[in-house]
Amino acid sequence: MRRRRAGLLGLSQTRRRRQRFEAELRPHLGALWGFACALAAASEAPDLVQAACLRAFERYGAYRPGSDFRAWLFAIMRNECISRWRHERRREAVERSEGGAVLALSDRCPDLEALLIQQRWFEEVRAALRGLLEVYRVPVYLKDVMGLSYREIAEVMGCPIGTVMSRLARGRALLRGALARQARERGLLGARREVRAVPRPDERVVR
Amino acid sequence: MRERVQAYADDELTVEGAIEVEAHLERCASCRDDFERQRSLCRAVAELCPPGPPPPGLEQRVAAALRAPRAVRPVVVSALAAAALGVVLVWAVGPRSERNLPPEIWAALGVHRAAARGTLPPGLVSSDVAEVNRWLHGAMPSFPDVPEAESRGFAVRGAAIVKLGGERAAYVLYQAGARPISLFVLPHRDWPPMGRAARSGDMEFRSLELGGERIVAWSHDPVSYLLVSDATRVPAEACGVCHSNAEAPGIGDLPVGTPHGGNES
Repeated sequence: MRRRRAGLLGLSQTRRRRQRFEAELRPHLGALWGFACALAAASEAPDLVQAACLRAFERYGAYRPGSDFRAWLFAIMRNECISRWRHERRREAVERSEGGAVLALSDRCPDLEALLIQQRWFEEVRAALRGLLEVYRVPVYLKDVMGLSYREIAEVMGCPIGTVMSRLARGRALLRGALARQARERGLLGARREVRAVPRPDERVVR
Repeated sequence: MRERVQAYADDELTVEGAIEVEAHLERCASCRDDFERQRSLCRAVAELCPPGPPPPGLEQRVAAALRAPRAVRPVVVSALAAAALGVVLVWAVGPRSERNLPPEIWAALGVHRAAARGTLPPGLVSSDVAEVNRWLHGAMPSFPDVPEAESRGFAVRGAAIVKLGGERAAYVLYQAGARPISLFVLPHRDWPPMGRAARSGDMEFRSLELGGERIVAWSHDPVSYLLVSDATRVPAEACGVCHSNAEAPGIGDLPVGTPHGGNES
């Protein structure tokens, strides 16, 4: 009898567990939405948010209270996104993005950022960010837009902090290169030296 | 040093580390340029790429999805798998008479035990009989409505579609006080002789005790039923999920037999 009472209490425990999860999730929905838009097309973002939330609830038992809930959610969303890409067989190798030009941070192009803000390049910056490979786009987005720490980004991406730093540096350089190229094409910047991006052999990633 | 400058611009260094990098930046123009460039790019991205607000209705959409049964599927599947394993083990070591029971009985027992532990199969969690009926009709059009039972002390807790003996069956979980009661509705079959039999009109009820649970099986075209509970007086304590006292099946205190048909002492 005691076992049964405990069992039926379990039904309400499931409900309480869901309510607890929803309460914890609610403050992060906006951030999840933003991250979904950075990972996928806007039309796919609602589905991605929903799928990630469901997956997170399924794994809620494995979440360690006190650890970073937002980073945990982001990691689940990223994995969900990658699973979808794999499922849809849209896996692409980094070699396909060889066209990306890196403007090394040491290269001189001092007016670029002021120009971006002056020209109100909202769409251009978003498009350039979306154009980055996922392994570069995610750390740049999480750091520069969401303000996550290296440790949190490493948790989301499942890689060491050193890898986060190198991808972040490379992602920013690629982003800067893409924006500088656009600015030059529009005659807003003078010609500068470009360095071709050289893909690393271990960087076979989904786009 | 370039990595440390990057970490400094990203505000990732300790105070000591930051002081060290600042001292370096004062005397290294190249690193100072890197630092300025990175910081201005980060500011531009943050300013030009703010995360937009979520679309209206997203929170409601997520909440609705979380309330849908598939959100707990992995937990349910593992629990059901464990229950099924338990049932298989009981079958393997149980007496021969128990092994001859139809597989639907064992499957129903497994589902009931899992529900008693608080794990409903994927389906609907609801205490609204009308909602349960609507949901079950959507999943299984031949399902006969379950009547309101709250006034008789039986609260509906949820419903699901489960597999019993390879066939789909509707499942409704009730609760009477702290007692769970499981009702299964499955395509019509002739139950083999098992437990003790009792008749009411042209219906034959088979009742047996298995693993501490009382199971009643009967058929009424076009469907068959299984009722699983730990009720000691089945008609009064379990049949009430569908019947008021006045409408009780008329089988009195249904005799409960062992699987091979012997009287329970």
